[in-house]
Amino acid sequence: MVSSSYLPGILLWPLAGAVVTALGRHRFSQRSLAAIGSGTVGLAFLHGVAAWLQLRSLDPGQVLVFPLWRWAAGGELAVTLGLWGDPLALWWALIVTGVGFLIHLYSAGYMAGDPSFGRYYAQLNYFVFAMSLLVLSDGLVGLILGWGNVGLASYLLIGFWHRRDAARRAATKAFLITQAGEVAMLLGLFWAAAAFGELHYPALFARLEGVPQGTLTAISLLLLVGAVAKSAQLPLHTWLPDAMQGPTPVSALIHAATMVTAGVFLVCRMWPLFSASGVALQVVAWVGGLTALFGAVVAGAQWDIKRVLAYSTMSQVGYMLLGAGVGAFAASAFHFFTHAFFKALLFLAAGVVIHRLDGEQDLRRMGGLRRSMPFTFASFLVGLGALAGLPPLAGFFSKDEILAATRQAGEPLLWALGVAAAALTAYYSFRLLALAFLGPEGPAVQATSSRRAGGEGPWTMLLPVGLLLVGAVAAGWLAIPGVTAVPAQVLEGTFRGQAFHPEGDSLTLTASLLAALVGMGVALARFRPSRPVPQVGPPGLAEAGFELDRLFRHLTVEPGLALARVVAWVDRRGVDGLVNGLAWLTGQAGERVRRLHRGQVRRSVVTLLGGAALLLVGSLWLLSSF
Amino acid sequence: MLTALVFTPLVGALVILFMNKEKEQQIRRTALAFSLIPLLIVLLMAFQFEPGAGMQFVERYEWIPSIGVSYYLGTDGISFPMLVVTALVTPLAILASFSITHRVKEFFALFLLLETGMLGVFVALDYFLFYIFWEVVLVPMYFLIGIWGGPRRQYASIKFFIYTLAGSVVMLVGILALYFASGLGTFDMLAIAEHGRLGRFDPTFQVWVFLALFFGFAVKVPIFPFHTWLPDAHVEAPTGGSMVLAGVLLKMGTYGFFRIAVPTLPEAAAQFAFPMALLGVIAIVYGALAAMAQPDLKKMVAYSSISHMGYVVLGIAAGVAGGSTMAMNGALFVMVSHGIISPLMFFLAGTMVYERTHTRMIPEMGGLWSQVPVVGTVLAFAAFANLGLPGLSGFAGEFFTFVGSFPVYTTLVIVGALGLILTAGYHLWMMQRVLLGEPKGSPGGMVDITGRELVVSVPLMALTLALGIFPPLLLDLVNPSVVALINQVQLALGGF
Repeated sequence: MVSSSYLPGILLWPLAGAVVTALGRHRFSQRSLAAIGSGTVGLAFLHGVAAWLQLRSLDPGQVLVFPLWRWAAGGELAVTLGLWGDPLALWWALIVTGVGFLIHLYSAGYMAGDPSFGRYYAQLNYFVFAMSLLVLSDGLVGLILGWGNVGLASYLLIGFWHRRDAARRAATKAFLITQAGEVAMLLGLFWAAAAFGELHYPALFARLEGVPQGTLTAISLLLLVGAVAKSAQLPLHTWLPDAMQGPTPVSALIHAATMVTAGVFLVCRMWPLFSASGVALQVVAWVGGLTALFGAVVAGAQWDIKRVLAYSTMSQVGYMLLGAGVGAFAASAFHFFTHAFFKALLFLAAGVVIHRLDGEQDLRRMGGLRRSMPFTFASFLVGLGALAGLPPLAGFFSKDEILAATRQAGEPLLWALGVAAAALTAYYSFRLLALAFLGPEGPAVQATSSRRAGGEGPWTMLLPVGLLLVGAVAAGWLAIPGVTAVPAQVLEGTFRGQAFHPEGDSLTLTASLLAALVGMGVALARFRPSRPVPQVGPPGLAEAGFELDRLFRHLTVEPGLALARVVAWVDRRGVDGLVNGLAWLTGQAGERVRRLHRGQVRRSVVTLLGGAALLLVGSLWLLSSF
Repeated sequence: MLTALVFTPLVGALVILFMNKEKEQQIRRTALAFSLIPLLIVLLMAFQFEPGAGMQFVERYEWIPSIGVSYYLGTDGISFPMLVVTALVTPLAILASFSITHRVKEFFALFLLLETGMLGVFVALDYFLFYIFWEVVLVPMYFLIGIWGGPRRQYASIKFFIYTLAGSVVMLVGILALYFASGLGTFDMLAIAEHGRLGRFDPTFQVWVFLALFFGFAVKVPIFPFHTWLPDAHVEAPTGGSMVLAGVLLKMGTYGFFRIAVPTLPEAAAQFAFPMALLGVIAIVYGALAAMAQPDLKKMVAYSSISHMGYVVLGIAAGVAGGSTMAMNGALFVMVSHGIISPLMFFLAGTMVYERTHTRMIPEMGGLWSQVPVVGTVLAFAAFANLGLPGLSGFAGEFFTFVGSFPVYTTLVIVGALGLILTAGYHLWMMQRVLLGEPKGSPGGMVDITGRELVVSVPLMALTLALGIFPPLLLDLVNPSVVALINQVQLALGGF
């Protein structure tokens, strides 16, 4: 363990940015606010790079640390907070701050003119701070401090336009569902504290042996519930599509690239625990596999461009969990890496489209944008191609590695799920492309065609899109089967030979390519020539997310509120009534007291003093008579 | 020093009694000044206070030697944090009460008298003295509610009075029983506790006395089902009264367990630990559910207090039954944390929000954040602190309580943790309706935060943040005393 002074910079710069932009939101110009907000995240990224270089210069197996302060002391549990810069933590931190920087920059253009510009930057910086704390902590307590605060940032930013009814509902829903997961996670922490007496990662992992299998599984599963809620996995995913109420860059950063992958990070971070349980890892794989398929099915039935991307995100995070669940932690982290590029790219490009169409998000009213927005079209083409898993784009390599690992780990059923989801992914990707960009111009495009002269956006918006575009093309080249294996190598310091690295797998390669081509072909054949007309009437089953949202509402929220009303009624009529009955019996006494005190306070004070004196004398007399 | 601490407010009350009642502003300032002196004294004491050194700042004089009453004051790691809370919250509550225009003189005199009572309860080490302070607290609060309260103040104040008087009379019986059964001829709390720990009280006797004390403290906390006076009292009380009621008065009940019931009657406490823990968890869940259904903002906060005090009761029970230092530390932590968050909540519900919306009904409000952003932010801060956002003091207290109680009462902790979801639920629902959305009611004309409101809320917010980020600020203070208490209990129970 080597102390590194670069680590705190990753947290402190965004925190400082949040404080300065919050306090100076009325004083500074939007230009300076954007510069401060983006610049601090950029500095955080540079600190991350410096820490990464420092780590690489050390012997393998070394870790960067930075001790902070005691958080809990005395009693059965001692907790000292600290930062932990191992390859996994820095891997995540670099993406959070790197992609975060680009999205901050993009926001300068996207949010220009918004009256709450300063508040926006303050909250976005605060998110980067909290997320960095989450990934860089050296124990579960620090993790949960970050975990809760990214939740708050997410709440504030989903509800950023808080006058909107849909936005405030979405914010509440997101916080509440993730809080439910957090409570399960807390129970996992309590149990872990009882079982290991430690919540500091290395100390905890050192004590895994000797703890019963059942306990390990129970703790892992409780942590997993938290991960499932945060990462919008089945069945706690219903908040994510609604969360798209937030500004689009927020969707890109928080609800696509980083925060929703916190669950994946948790499983990868706690890999010794999940591996020791075995069963828990199996559950992780199934949750991930099923969500990957479910998200892809539902995404293919959405008409709102951002909701397509939201369901796509949950599906892709499902892949990451699938990878982690079969023990291919490095592959999982790798897919997080490529996904951050192409999904952020897609969201930011979608933001450009929405911006251009004056807020229109319905795919059925778009169409033909290829001509007026060539750069955005290229971005979508690359982003969707990467998402669909077309070579040589980023998603192809990382998804394939996960699928190969699934097959080689002896999970043919999960593998089949994954391949089917891949076909559906290609289908919804090219459905989106066809609806928005191909064919004749849709009504929303025609209505705003006068703004065509304005170009596609300012440089602060196009530069980040361009850089992400490069990433979406090239990020996958870090792990070309048989050629490169960068993620596996650099993450070795965390997984210590225990992560499963699949070999090149020609069956998987063929199957997933075939699946992608079939999905793409069907989508283009179906949606290229004609655009569906918006229909009035109830949405189809898949479009409504199989009604899980409503089912959940009926099963939890409504009974909860009903129970609350019953309790409140019982409290007034029952418990209080009972006691009031007693009080009525002593009413005579009460009446007297009241009459005495109805007059002036002075007289009351006299009565009071008299009463006290009486009490005093009385008790003295009582006592001395014994 | 403790004498000066306790009686400065009383002197202030007397000074105010001799002031011209027309000079209202002068009276307000005098009250504030006299309430700031205890805060100063407590801060001075904090520098000298040594955690782990047992009772400190002890003052002891014979008072009524014939029956063994002495004037005996002292403070340790269990009571000192409560002195800080009391000395901090009272001046803020007085400041919050500057808008009182009706019978100003009496109001502030009573408020200072109340502070003397509260401080006295936490430092008295003689039962006789303790009881006097206990009653001194009751009476001014009765008047504060009954005279300066809302429309149903008469009902609320009488209910408060009857409940707490019944509680304290039964408690007095318990205290007298201890006095006589010990045969020591002294009201010295520590001596009687020592006697109890040596197992010199008959087990059946212990049970009866514990029940009597339990009832007395339970009404004050309040523990379900003795809690129904609280929502009425809070809703009707003036803002300043609510602030000290929630911030300090409720803690007198749980303090009674720490100082009296547990150390003096450890065997009975262990025997009743499970029912206590059960009642604590019932309070957590029941209080949260009841809070969720309240349309009245103040009532919601009141039920939330019942819910939060449940953590304290659970922590005490787990500390007794399982010897968990963490659980008891957590209980004390929640006492302090709730002691600073709940006054802020009541200040918001009763003053900051009310004076702008002229209603306390949640369904009638809306869009406060877009009208008065700073006030809205303070409300959001308080709500997130109260719902246990990691990084603020509420989370730390709940975490310590639960982590300590988990091995002792696993099922109960799991049920109690569900309460955390409900707690998040009603706070979020409240914010959704009060803060977010389109503004309702009269458009414009709302003034954002005033200087006085800032002065009241900023210290509470700062402390909430500081304790959440750096809990050892408080933990290091209480831990040695809690360890000593737990050791005594374990020893009395035959050790582990």
